[in-house]
Amino acid sequence: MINYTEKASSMGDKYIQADLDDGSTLFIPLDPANSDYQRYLKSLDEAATL
Amino acid sequence: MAVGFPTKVTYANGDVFSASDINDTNGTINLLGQSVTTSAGKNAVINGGMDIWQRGTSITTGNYVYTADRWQTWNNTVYTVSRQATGDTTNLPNIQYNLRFQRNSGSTSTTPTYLAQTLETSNSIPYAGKAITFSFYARKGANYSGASSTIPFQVRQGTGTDQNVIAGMTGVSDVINSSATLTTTWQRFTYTATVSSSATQLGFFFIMTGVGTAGANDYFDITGVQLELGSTATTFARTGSTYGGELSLCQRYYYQHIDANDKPVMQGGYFTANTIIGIIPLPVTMRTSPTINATNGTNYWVSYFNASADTFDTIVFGIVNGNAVNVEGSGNVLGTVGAATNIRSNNASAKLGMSAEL
Repeated sequence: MINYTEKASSMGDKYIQADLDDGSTLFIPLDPANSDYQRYLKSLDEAATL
Repeated sequence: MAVGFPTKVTYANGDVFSASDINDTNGTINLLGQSVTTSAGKNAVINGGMDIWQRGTSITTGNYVYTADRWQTWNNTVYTVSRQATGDTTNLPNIQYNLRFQRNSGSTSTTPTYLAQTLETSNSIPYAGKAITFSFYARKGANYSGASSTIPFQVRQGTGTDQNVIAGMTGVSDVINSSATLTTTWQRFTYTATVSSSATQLGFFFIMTGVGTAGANDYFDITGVQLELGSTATTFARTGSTYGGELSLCQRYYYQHIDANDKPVMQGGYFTANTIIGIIPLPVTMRTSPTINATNGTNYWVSYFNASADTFDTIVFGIVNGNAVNVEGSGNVLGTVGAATNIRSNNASAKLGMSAEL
């Protein structure tokens, strides 16, 4: 289970942050073609149906 | 096969041999003895020779975890994927490396574990409605526990766009669903089938299901994976022909920028006294705007500016596209607004990668 957080850069660009178990961090752009962003959206859908 | 005999038997220097010089009413010339062995692009499988390992050469499996470039695992965390030298020029056509897919010694997990690759839609469409041949070289370790020494695999097709074969493809169906019986000696396995004319996606995966407690050599080795047009398995060739060509193809999907200490990260400047901004150009245009994967920590990065060093902790997202990544340095940054800076890694564990995988 990955925990996602919506954030913004110093210049106001929004992105999604995901902290992984291995200690690394994903910074995910809000690009529909990005597969990590697709997984983030899917996690929102799954959470909404619980 | 030659179709006629030359009518002209004597040639002077500079003469050109033409079809009219052949006594053949069909007017067709076939070349003898030509064998295409290294034509770039005939193989749809990127990194089928297991040459490129930007993320490291020994990686623990997991859901959607990539190992060798373009090769993804799924469904289990008790396997290790590593690069091995084939050391075999008798049974392999001079392929330097293989991928080893190993259940860790002592593991009792019997969960099916996947090794997969998904092709982009743009690289799948040329195969729609065509006969294809899927081939690979494989062998097993002495303690391989898969049932009947087989490794099941599937080549799948779908009708969506750029969907992952593990995550699921729209309209998915099997092109090939088979298994190979392994021995401890390298063998080449070849399979031919026809792709649906409506297919817009191709992907494939191998499935290892361990049995009992894993011994020290509970693995299979694989390399020379090739998917090509036609009904014959031709000699394995890298998609990108050379090592450099293959690396460039891989970097469309993943680029490892930093994975060691004291490496150049970027040029930048102090946006505020506590924030650095900089741009990292990407070596090839990536498939889409990439995710940045960073391993940060206390003093993992250092900024050199105004004849001083400013260590800091974190590199985070700025803005990205397929050609460049704009990142920010933060976390204990303390500099001079407007000062230009040169950023380096400052810890052996510092990492920075960009992923545009499917």
